[in-house]
Amino acid sequence: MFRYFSSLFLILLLSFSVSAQQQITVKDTLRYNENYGIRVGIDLSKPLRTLLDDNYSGVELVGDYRIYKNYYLAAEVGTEKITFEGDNIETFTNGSYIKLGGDYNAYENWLDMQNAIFVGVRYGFATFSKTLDEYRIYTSSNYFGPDIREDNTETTGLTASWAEVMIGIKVELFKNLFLSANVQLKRRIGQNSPTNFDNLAIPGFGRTYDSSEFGAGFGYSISYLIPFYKKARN
Amino acid sequence: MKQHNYYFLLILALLVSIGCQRDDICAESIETTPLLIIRFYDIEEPDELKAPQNLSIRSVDSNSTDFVVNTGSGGAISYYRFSRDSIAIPLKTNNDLTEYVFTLNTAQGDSTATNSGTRDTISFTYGREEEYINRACAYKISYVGLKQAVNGGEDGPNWIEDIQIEEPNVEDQNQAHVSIFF
Repeated sequence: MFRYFSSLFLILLLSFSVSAQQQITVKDTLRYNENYGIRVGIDLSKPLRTLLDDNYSGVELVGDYRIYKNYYLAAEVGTEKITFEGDNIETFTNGSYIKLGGDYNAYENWLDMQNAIFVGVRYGFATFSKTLDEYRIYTSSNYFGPDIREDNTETTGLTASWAEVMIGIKVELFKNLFLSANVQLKRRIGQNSPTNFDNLAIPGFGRTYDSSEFGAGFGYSISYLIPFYKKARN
Repeated sequence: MKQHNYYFLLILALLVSIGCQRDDICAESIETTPLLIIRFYDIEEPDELKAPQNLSIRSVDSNSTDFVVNTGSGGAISYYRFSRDSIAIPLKTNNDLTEYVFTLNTAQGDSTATNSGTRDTISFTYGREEEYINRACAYKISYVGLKQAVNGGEDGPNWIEDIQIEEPNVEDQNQAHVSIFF
């Protein structure tokens, strides 16, 4: 778990050093207009992972809306099918999630550029079903051979919620077209799990850990800004 | 700087996704399906532990040369010509009945344990409860309501004088579950 903390910390440090550099730039007298509007897009990593990973399929739509200067309302909705294959257990999770929150852009742009280094917070909520496909009765003696069982009953109506902090960047590739990458640290707030079983994966949250409430993830998306109006930068 | 930062972030994201895959090995310290612990006592002095000599144990439905071997921490223990006062043997997890042949005084070289020694068959019956442990170890079985019956043939038990269930609910390996007096 500390690995995630330390990497997040590193990114934080790096972004601070960037913003520190920006502060000493010469103040220019020109005024630039900035676009305000809604930005919608799709996560690219999830379809890619769907192609490469037999145990995963998923899609996620992303969007944000600039409400004031560097503040954005942001949301993601998605659906995921996750198969967990362990040494002794195999489960299938299928469900959808929504993440709501906001982003703060800490990057001061040059000229009329619209790049961003941002931090965000989200509240995530998922509803899903879970199937315990195959499992083993674990014994310390293998005298009677392995006892592996199949169980295809699906438990539906499961829910989970979590809080999330993310840090990332958005780069304007072409006019109003953005490529964005972020890493996410999540902490589970609540969940209901099947009787005599546990949620080994949660859509939107990713895999869980037996001994902690934390999870991690990343996003890599392409999005398009639909400008509603322009406003001069102060 | 901006471009550099961008690549850095991408690589980090990749590391995060790869780095969290496998901490999924079932540790030995975790309590899984318990073994049945049996201790042997002297019938003359029921408080005194007594080691049966050259005891061999096999399941009734196993090949007769196939003796119980437990692999675990501390190396494998084979119950063939075994001479100590306590044993730990598995109960079936997929059946409510496990039957063992206990052969006392197995002669050296008797790899079948049917030519030499004195034999008694013990039947253990029980109920089973499945319990989820964690993602690495999956499930365990706890046995409830353990009962036993000794069968030595027409003349009754051959060497076992008495057998008592000390703990009918076999949930862990912290204590002996069965006492055998001989």
